[in-house]
Amino acid sequence: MTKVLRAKKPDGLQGTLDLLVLKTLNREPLHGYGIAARIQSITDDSLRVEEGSLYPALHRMEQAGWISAEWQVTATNRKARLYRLTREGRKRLTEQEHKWGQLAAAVSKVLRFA
Amino acid sequence: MGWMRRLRNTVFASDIDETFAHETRAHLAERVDLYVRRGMTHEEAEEKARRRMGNLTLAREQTRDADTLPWLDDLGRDIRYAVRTLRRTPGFTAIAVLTLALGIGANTAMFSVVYGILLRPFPYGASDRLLLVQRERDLNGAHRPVSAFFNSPADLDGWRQGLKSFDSIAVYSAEVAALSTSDGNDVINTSIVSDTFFSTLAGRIAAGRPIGTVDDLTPSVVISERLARRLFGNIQSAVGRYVTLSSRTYAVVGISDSSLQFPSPKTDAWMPAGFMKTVSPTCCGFRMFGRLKPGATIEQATAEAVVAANALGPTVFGPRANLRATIVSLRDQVVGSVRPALFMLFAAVGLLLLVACANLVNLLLARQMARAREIATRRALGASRARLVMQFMAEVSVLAGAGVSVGVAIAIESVRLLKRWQPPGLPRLDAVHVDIPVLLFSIAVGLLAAIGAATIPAFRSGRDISAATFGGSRMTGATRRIRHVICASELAVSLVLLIGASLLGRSLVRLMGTDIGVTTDHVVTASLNMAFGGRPSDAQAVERIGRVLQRIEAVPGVTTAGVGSALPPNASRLTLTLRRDGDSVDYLAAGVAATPDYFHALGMRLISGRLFTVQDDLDHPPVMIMNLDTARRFFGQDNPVGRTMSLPVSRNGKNGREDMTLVGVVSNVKYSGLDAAADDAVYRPFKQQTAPAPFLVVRTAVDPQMLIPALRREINIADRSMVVADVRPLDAIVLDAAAQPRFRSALLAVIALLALAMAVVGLYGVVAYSVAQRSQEIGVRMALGARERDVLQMVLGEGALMACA
Repeated sequence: MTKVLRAKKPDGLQGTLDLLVLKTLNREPLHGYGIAARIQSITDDSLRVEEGSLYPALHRMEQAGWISAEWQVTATNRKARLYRLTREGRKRLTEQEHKWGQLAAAVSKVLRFA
Repeated sequence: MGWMRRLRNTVFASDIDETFAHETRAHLAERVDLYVRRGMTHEEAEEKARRRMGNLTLAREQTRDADTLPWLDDLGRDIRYAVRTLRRTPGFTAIAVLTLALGIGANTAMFSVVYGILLRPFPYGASDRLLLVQRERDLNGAHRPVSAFFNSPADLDGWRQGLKSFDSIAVYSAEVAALSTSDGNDVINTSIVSDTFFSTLAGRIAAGRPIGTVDDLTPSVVISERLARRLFGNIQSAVGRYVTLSSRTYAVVGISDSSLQFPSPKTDAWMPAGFMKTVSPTCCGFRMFGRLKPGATIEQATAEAVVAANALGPTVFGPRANLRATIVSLRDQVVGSVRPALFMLFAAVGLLLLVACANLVNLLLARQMARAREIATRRALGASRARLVMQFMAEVSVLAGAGVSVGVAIAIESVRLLKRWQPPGLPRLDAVHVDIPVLLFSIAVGLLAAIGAATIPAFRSGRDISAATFGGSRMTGATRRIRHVICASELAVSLVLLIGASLLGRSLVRLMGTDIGVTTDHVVTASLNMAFGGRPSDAQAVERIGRVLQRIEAVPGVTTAGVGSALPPNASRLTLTLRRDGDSVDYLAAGVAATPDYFHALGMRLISGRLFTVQDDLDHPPVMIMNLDTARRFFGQDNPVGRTMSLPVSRNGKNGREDMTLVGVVSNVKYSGLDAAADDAVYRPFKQQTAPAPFLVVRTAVDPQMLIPALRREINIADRSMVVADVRPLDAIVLDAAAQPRFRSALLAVIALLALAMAVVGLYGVVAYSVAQRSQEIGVRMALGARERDVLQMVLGEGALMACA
């Protein structure tokens, strides 16, 4: 099953994309392509991000101060913006993970007992 | 700060799109590389990578929104668009901006005056707690302030015990003194103050220290910054120097800041009361002020003052003095008299702004009609109503912004003019500036005006547009009616202002035309003073004045010259209290010690009896002259000449009473102001009752202005130690006495004319517009035989109808 996530107006799914990006960046700083590729490989391509929509989300989080960005030359010798989690972003990630856990637990309870 | 960066991105429209393009290009390239490595052709790889990216245009838009403040961006675009469209119609823009600027400018200038004079705190510590304690004496119904709170330090102690809700109290008197400088004598305003004066007032001292308890018995002085600069060049070097005032030398202990203007802005020196009382025991009519304790109220203070006044009054004035005490705040004392006039003018500029706004509404409505087709087209192309209203608002904001800027410039210039003009009677002019609170006010007024003016057109626009879409560019009937109503109300408001101005003008004319009882043209007056450095004896005074008059009468161009201790319209230096037999209260009268020619020089009319002669001296029986009203009051309708009365006299500083005979009755004269009733006056021959500081009055055959230098010179030759001040034509003094009413009438007239001009422009706009719209109809009418006159009549009739409404 392939699910397409888009960064649109605030709703549950946008929060999900944020969470994925933050979690991915928590391990190491990456550029846009790297983030997309990492999510893709971890989820075995089952959760596919429409890659263009990654950038509005990245810029929004950058403006919110959760991540910071700087220009860098990649291993393939291309100029790209390297995104890095800030302290604020780390806090945000913990929060969101917690919320997601609660949501997942709640949903699975419903699935089990309803 | 995210939004700061977004703001910067918005304003400088920097390279955000480029960043996005760069990032996504790199991203695509990586993916293409990957697919090519997996064995796809380059074309296939690119195609697939693009598909993976999704809708890049949408992503770019969203990224841009994330990086900027989109509403601000819209607003910026709207404003740029507004500026462009406004530039295309320079006539409309100029009139709209000018209208607003005049309205806002007048309001800003007026507010800066009201704020500076009425609201800005005085430059004294906690100035709201400074209160003046005044005593009034009931003189036959007229309440006159009396001084003499304090004849001995014990008096002040009594007050201190009575006024418990005051932290401290102080007394002061306003006196004139002769300042001796290298180029002669000069009269300055001084104040004799108790040792608590400066600590109670808490005003600013520019250098040195204020007079305190240690200085009370020493010849020390605090001088004003102005005087320090004049005498010593700068402030710092003045401390420790000496000044000679009325032949006594004082050590300068401190310089007061120019903001310390108590008791008057003209006060140049403050001397200790203790010292003055030792050298001149009869000195000074003191007044009192104090600083209220925190939390105490004016009512408390008043109650205490009444009790204290009754307890202490009889010691000074005798048991039947009818004294009462009142308390007034320093602010009310200084600015109370101009408050009503300022509020009236403020209301007038408010009305002016209303007219300006109405004009703006009219202009905007007309403009909107002219653009109805354009707007209809844009709506049809998908612009939302909200967006159109936003654009319209942007246009109005641009107009308001320009209006405020030009208005503030107008205000700054008018305040500068006002300060240069220095209208007499307007206190605290130095506190008037165009500063932050004033600017905030002006911006608020601008916003309010813009919003007010934009509301009607913004809500009319929808209807007019649908009308325009179907019926060409014509207003709906409702909009036309609104314009007519607005026009009519503009005219009405400006008429109200005009009527107000003309009423003020008329009362001003009446005031200036007031018969003060003397002939004011061709008269020069001066104030003479022989009392500096010690009061002259009666004989010396008579001799010195005689010498001066003799010299002056020899000056070519002088018809006659005299002296008297009062000068119409508003100066009298002696007051007498008279009591009619059987009455319980005193009458107050101006006591005028006058030489025979005083009456001639002022052109007073002799009604019966005779004037004084040179023989009315101490060797002859005491005589007096009364004005008509006083004579009637005391002697009834019968011929009063020859009747006698006991009156107070002062001989060489000693007070007594003497019976004196009435020898003549003269016309009524005003000595206490143009708008006051004529005073009761009792005239005494100068030789029988001298005055140390009389007024010189000189009737001239030539332009009085020309004689001023000659008079100064001759007085100086006749008597070197005579101090002369205020040598001026009597006409000018009368003009000055009406200065405040003149100021407010002139200002109101200007405001009213501006409003009228605006209303006329508005009316012109409406009529011109309706004529332009009906040119077809008019054409048909003329083709059918209407003559030019008929059409003219029709248009004029409509305009007149509006004006009448």
